[in-house]
Amino acid sequence: MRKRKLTPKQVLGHVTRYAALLLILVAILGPYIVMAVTSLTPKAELAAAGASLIPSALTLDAYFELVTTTPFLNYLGNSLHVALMAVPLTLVCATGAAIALSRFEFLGRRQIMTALILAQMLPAVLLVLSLQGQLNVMGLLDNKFGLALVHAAFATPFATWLLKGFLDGIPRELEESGSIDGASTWQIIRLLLMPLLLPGMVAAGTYAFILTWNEFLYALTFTASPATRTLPVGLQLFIGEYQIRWDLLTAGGVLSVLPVVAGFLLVQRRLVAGLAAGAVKG
Amino acid sequence: MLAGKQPTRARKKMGRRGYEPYVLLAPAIILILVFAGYPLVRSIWMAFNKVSAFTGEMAFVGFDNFVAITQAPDFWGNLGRTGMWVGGAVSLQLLGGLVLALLINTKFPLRGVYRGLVMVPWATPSVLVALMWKWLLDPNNGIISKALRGVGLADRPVEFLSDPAMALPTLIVIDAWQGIPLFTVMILAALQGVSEDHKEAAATDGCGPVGVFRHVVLPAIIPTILITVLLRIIWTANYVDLIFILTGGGPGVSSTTLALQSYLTAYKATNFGQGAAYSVLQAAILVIFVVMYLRLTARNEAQR
Amino acid sequence: MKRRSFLAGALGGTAGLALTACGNGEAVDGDGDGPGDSAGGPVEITYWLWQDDATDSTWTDLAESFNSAQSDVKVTLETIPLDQYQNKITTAAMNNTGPDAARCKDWWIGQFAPAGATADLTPFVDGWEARDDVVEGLWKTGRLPGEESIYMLPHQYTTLYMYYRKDYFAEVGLEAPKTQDEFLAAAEALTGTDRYGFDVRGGGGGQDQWLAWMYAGGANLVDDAGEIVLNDATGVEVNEKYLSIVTDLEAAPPGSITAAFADVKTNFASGLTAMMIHHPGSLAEMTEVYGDDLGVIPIPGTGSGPSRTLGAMSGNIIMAQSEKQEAAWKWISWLSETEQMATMSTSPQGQLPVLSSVMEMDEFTSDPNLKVAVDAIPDAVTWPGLPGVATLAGKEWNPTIQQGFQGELTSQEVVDKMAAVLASDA
Repeated sequence: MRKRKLTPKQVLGHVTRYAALLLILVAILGPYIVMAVTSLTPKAELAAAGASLIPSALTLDAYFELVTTTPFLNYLGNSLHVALMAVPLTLVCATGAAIALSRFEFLGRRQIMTALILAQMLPAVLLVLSLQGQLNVMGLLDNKFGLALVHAAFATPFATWLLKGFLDGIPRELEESGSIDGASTWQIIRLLLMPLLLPGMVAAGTYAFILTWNEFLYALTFTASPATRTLPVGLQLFIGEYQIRWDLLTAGGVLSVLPVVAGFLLVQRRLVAGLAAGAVKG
Repeated sequence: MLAGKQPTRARKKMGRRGYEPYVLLAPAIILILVFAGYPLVRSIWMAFNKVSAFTGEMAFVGFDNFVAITQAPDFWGNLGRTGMWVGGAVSLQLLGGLVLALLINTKFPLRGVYRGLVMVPWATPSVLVALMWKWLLDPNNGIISKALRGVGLADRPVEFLSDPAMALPTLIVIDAWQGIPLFTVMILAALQGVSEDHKEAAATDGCGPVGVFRHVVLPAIIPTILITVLLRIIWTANYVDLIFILTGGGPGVSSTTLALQSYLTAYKATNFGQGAAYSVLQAAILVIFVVMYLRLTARNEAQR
Repeated sequence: MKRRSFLAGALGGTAGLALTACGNGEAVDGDGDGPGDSAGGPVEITYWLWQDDATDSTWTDLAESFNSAQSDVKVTLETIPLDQYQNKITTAAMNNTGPDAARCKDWWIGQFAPAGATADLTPFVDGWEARDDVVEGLWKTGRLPGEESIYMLPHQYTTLYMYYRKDYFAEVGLEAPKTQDEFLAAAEALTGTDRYGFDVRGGGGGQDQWLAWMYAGGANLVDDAGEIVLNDATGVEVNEKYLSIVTDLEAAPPGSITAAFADVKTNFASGLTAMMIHHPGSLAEMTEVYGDDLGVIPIPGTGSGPSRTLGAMSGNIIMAQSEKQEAAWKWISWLSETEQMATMSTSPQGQLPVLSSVMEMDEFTSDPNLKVAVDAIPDAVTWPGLPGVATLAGKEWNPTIQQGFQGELTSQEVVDKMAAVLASDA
């Protein structure tokens, strides 16, 4: 970067921007810091008088108990396992559908686009009732793959529309020159479109991942054993009839968010790489 | 002046009357038909039936369920609150997400880490989000109420969730807090499609920052914004976890929405027919937004 | 504490139980013992339960003891969060994917049993040798009004009473209240700067302490003939007193009208409130916090006759859809035998036992505070087994009582509305 002298106006702009960034970060992370502090607070202190922001001592007891006496790591593994099936499933379905809807004209195109939205119109609490019977008949109850299929089915519509939006923004000269060069449709998709679609796929994949990571109701209804149960259901078990195990709940919350943030840190560069390469400037 | 926009012939070019689009669509269609289509149709059918809880037997009753729920004393109030809940939460999310995305699309130190941290509320299960806020907002022990009293902004404990005038607005703010990251990530991704050349060209043509945003940035991200807003409207209308855990729809009925009523009617009163009717009715109203969206995008596509 | 040695003997009684009918007309194959039979292995059953603390091992230990002590039945436990428990049972029953046996609250029975979701346990109970050990009055918690059939086997019981701060009462020079009027006067007197008399718990689960108050004050949900009498003159008056804690006296802390038990307990434990209605489940914890400053009394009532309160039963049901009902009975009846019940009732998740033989144990007679709850058993009244009870408790009670606290509904309107819900059949 070149060094330039900043005008007072630019300095003011920078200060405002950093102040805004800081303020937003505090607003976003504030509740989370309270949660992290809670997870480190001794259990007795929580039970006696609720949470305080400044505990008398910090302890990792909750994390230790969570990992050693509850199937928490199991739940974490199950969640990862389901996500690792649901995310690729979503991306395959959504990318294919998005390319078809953005780049092809065919019979029923608009109807399918509409149907994708209408598929989401009813709340999960209602759908779950019929879906459970259906999964039972299909032998997919208490089965991680079954849960992944359901999650993918509910992530695909938005992912498709999202990717279609990205594709619509990508000019078509490249594909046209490709087809002049004699490349097949499949080659054009694989070699030209897919790389351009990467930022969109990262966004859609992130969405699908978080959907399956946080999804509670389907996971609760379709799984029963510790071998298939996912994190959100596992966390809910710490809310008892007469007590809430705040220590375990918050420790579990911290541990369940870390993989998501770490994963996002890894892929976020892709999110902003994309078109900057300049290949498609008009 | 703005290059890169091609007429619709481009779409037709790649595969006129080919089999390819159907192959590309097949996985998505099959998956959605099987796992979302069937329960959807069956749930709609339930709204026209009396459903025996525990046995699942159905008896067709026509529009009886709809008549019953629209005559319930709180129906219109619930409808209005649903409108406030959806309108408030989605517009806050859009606004916050847009501002945040524009901010973190600029260069600054540790930008990558910042982007990761901004995701945290989105990556937290709803039950935890709800309980965390319940704790923070507790009138007696919560730090927000204590802080407000400490600095003299309130002279008694603030009842965020148990004051009928504050419960719904509070829920809306919490939902926005949870939902802004989704908008941020989606808009951020869309912003990558905005060509720097176009921005510079527009700037040299005499557009100020606002002009550049309106004429160059906004058109590029508007498809993403529209679809995100539309689906967010649908999701928010159907989202009950936060309300159920934090207020249960109360105090009184001051934060009860149609979706919550649907859930309570179906499961707590085991009246699945009427429960489904609430949701189907809401879906029928939401179709208005879908139609609006399709009109908008159709015009966009025609312009291309 | 583990008790395993007794198992062989204890099981002898149920193993030889002869069954003539399963009572539900569902397909029951051959000998009713399902697929496990042909292979000669144990019959495998699933049992659903909720737990107060998912890290406590009492339940899993019991299941292990059961499985290792005999080879006829193997039980698998599936823990479900309480908030979603009723939903999941309903969904599962509709799709025939439910468990063989399940834990159940008494106020769900009125919804489950008439819909045919739960098996009639009467034939099993009639041949059960521990039958007469169950406190006679408690069988009604598993019955529907006016019926003799038993749908739920009593297991863990609790009665509600009142905790109070002796030191706070001493400060204002008051005795522990015996009548509801004394209670109201005390609540008002105890309310001061950042201190309040009593949490009304208008949020989740609050219907239990409200009903305990109503019963104590002489009100009833139904009379002996099964007629709904919640909105009679007594009902209106006693409910009016409860509402007045908020509307007139302002003796409830901020947030009380939507508070759930976690809030109520925190408020009492942190010294914000002076009185709290709950059951012995929080006795150990509160004793630890307050020691001798903690007092326990029956819920203030009319001042004449025996004091009444609410009794709440968590029992066990067998799902009507189960094809392994005999095996399921073996497990749930084993849970209700003396030793296992003692294990459960003395565990951190335990409540009061339902067997006279266990109730006589030292643990339940020596602690004077606990004795208040035990002594209340004979005169405690439960939720009636009406279909409308689950709807009232799960859906209508909260908004209705909250509107009462806000002054939007009068006491008469509140009980009228609730009575109408009770009278509905769904």
